[in-house]
Amino acid sequence: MSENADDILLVKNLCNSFQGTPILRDIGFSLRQCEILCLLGPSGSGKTTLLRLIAGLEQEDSGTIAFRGRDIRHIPPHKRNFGMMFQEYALFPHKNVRQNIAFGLEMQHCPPAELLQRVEVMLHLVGLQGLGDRRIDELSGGERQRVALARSLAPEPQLLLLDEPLGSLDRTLRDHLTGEIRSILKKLAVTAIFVTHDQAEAFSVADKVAVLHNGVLQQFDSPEGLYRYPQNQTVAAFLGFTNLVDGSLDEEGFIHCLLGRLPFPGKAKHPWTKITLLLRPEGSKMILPAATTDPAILTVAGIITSRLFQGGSYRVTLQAGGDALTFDLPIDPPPPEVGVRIHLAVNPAAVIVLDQC
Amino acid sequence: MKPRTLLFSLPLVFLLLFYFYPLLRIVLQSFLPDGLWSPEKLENLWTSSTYWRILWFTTWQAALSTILTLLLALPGAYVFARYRFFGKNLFQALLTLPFVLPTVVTAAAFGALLGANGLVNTWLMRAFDLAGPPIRLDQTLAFFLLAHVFYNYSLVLRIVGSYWAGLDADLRAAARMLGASPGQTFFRITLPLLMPAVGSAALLVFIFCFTSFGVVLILGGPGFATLEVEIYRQAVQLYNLPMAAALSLVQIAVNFLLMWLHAKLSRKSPVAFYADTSSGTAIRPSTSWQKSLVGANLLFIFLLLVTPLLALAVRSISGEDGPTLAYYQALFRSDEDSLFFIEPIAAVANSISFALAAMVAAVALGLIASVFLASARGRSTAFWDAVIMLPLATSAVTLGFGYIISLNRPPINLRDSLALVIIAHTLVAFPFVVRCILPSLRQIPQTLREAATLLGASPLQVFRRVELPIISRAILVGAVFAFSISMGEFGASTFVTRPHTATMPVAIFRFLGQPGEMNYGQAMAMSTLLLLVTCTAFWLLARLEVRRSAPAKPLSKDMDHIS
Repeated sequence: MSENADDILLVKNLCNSFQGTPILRDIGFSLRQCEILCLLGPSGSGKTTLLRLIAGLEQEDSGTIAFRGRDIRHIPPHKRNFGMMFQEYALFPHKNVRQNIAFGLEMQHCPPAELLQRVEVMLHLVGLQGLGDRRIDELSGGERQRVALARSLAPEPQLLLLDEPLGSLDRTLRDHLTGEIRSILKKLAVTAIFVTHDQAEAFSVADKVAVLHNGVLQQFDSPEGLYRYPQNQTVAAFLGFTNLVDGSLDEEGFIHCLLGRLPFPGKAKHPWTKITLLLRPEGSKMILPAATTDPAILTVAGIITSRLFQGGSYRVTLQAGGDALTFDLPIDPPPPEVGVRIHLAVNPAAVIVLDQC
Repeated sequence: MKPRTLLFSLPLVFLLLFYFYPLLRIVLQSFLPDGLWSPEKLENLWTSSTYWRILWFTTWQAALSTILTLLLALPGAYVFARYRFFGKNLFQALLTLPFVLPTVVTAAAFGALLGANGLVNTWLMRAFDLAGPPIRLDQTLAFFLLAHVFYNYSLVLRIVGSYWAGLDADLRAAARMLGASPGQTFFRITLPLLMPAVGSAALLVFIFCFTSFGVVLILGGPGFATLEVEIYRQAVQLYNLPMAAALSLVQIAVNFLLMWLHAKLSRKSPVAFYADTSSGTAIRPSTSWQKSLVGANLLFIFLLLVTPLLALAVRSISGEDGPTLAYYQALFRSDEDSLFFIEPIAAVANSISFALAAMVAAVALGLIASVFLASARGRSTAFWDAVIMLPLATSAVTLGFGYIISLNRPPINLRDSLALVIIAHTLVAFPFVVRCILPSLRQIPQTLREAATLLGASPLQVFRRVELPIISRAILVGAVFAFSISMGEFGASTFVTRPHTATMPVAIFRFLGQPGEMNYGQAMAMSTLLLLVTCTAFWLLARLEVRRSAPAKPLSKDMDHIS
C-alpha cells in the first residue's frame, strides 16, 4: 500500500484475536477523502471486527490505524467523530425519530435552534419529512434504516462506518436503498466504509472493494478490477466464479490444459509450471466445429448437461474434459437442448490466470 | 358448551367456595358484625390514630425496604449482566434460594446469625469476654429490613439483570459513536431503557414487603406491626373479629391496587427491543476496578444469602457446651411441658402430607385452568386470567382469617377438618402453578395442534400426545413450586392449623415464641430440617430438568417467535 497525501485513513499491519483465535491477520489498506470502501466477505471473515476496530469499539492486538495522519488507536470511540450505522440499526427505543437524529448533535452541544433545523434537513435528506414525531416501533424496516442513516450523518462525521446496513431488508428494498445510500453519501461527500457479504451490493455502492476471507485481506481493488481480475481462487470462488481449470505453462509461453493449448494472456509474472485458469461465464459464443483456427482463442467442446433460461441469457453447463463449465450464452441463437454437444469460442478477455494460493 | 369450558368450572367453583366466599364473609363481618348494619365499629378505623399509624408504618417500611434492596441489588444486576466469571452458574443457583425459603426459616436463620443468641454475638462475647451481646438487632426495624433485603435482593437482581443483559449492546455502541461518553451513555440510554424493569421489580418488592408477615412477626417483635401482623393480633390474640375484618379489607384494597399497577406497568415494557442473544455480550472482568466490583458483589451475595443459612445449621447443633444433637433428639420426644400434644417431629410428617396433597390439588386445578385460558381467545381471556390471579393479590393472613370466620359453620363447616389446611395451601399455590404452565402452553404454536388434528388425532389425543409432553417440564416446575410453597406457608397456616396438626413453620414459630435454650435450639433444628426438605425438592427438580432439557430445547427455540 503506497502512502499518499490524499489518504485520510491508513491501516497498517492490523491484527486482532478473540480468546486466542485470530480474527484479523496483518490487514493493511488506505482510503482517500470521499471514497466509499466496501469490506466484502462471507460471515466470519472478520469484516465487522475490522469495522469495529476502526470505530474504536474493539481493541486491536497490534498494528496501527491512522486518521488524517494521526494515530487514533488510543482515542475512545466517542471522541473520534466517526459515524456508525449498525446492522439492526440500534435505534434508541425510548426516543422518537427526531430525538434519535438529534442525539449526536446534543452530544456536540449544538444550540437548540440550529439542532432543530439540522434535524429537519436530515429528515428531508433521507425522505422522512413529517415523520419526526413517530415512535421507533411505528416505523417499517426501510424507514428505520433511513432514520439510522440520518442519525449517523447528522453530526457530520469525518468517516461513516456502515455495518451491513441493509442486511435485514428484503431484496427489492435493498436494491433501491443501495443506490439511494450511495447518492446521499456522494452528495454529502462523506468518506465511508461499508460492510457487506453481498457482492452485488458492494459493486453498486463502492469505489473500492476489500475482499476479506478468514481474517486475511485477499484483494483491494475497484469493483471492476475485482470482477475482471480476481487475484486468487478464494476471491474467484467468493465472487461466484466456478469455471476453474488446472493447467501448466510451457517454456514458450503456452498454457496446456484439458481444453487444449493457448497462448498465455497478458504478461507472465512468474514462470509457473502449475497454474489455474478462470473462465468467466460471460462473452462466449457458440461456433461451428473447427470454425476458428485462431490459436489465441480458446475453444471448448462439451455436452450440455443443464440449460436455464435467465431472461437476458441462457446459463448453460457443459461437460467438457473432466470439468463442468458454466457459461452465460446469448439468447440468439438459442443453445440446443440438454445432451447435445456444442462448441464455444471463449471470450479472450474472460480468461484469467489466478495467483496460486 | 365445549368440554374445555365445562372443565374450567372446576377451578372456578373452587375459587368461588374457598376464595370469594371467605372474602365476602370478611366484608360482611366488617359491616355487619352481628348480622346488623353497624359500621360504627369501623369508625375506629378512621378516627383512631392507631390504625393510620399501622398503615403508615406498613407503607414506609415497605418503601424503605424497596429502596435499600434496589441500592444493594442494582450493582449486582450490573455485574451479572455484563461480566462472565468463574462460578457464575453456581451463584445463579444460589440466587434462587430465597425464592424457595419459607419466611419462618429466613427469620430463624437471621436470628441464628445476628440475634442475641446468634452465632456472631456468641463468638464476639467469647472472643472479647463481653458480658452482653454487642450486636443488638433483636426486635429492631433493621433486623427485619435485613430479612426483606435477603428476600428481594435476588428478585431485583434477576429481573433487572436479565433485562440488562438483554439490552442490545449496539445501543450503547451507537451512543458512543454519536459522541456520548460512558457516563452519558449510562444516564441517557441504559438507565432510561432499564426503568421499566427497575420499576416493575421495585413494585414487586414493595408488594412483598407491604404484605410481609412472618419476618416482621418474628424478627420485629411486639414493637412493630404491619397490617398483616395487626390482622393476626386482632384476630388471634385479641379476638376482635370486626376490626381484623376491617383491616383485611384495607389490605385487600391496597393489594388489588398494587397488583393492578404492576400488571399495567409490565404490559407497557418494551419487550420487542430485547436482543436475540444475551449471553454473547458478557465479558471477563479485566481491569482491577472491574475485578474488585465483581468480587465485592459476590462477597456480598455470599454474606447475605449463605451465612445466615450456615449459621442456622451450625446453631442447630451447638449447645451451651459445644456440639450436640440434643435439639434434634428433643424433636422426637413428647414432654409434659411440651408445646404440642404429640412429639414435634410429627410436624414434619404433617407438613409433607399437606404439601403433597396441596401439590396434587394445585397442579390438577392449575392444569385445567391453564388449558382453558390457553385455548380461549379474545377479551374474556384477559378477564378470566385476572380472576385466576386474584389469590396472588390477597395476603395469606387475610385468607386464613377469612377461612376461620367462614368455613366453620354451615353451609361449609370444615372447622376440624384437615382439609382446611390443604385447601388454604392449594389456593395459595394455584396461581403460581398457572403462571408456570400457562406460558409454555401458550407458546405451543397453533399449527402444531392443527398438524396433529390433520394427522388424525382427536382433541384428547392432541392434548395427551402433543401438548402434555411439551408442557411436562412446566408442570413439574409448577408441582415443585406448589410443594415448597405449601411446605413454607405460614400466614394462613397460623389460622387454620390445630395444635395436633401443626405444620413445620407453625411449630418453628411456637418454639421461637417460648423462652429457654431448648426451645430455641429446637426451632433451629426444625428450621434446618425444613430447609433440607425444601432444598431437596428443588435439587430433585434440577436433576430431572437436566435429563429432560435435551429434547425440549430445539422446539422452544422455534416457539420463541410465536409469542
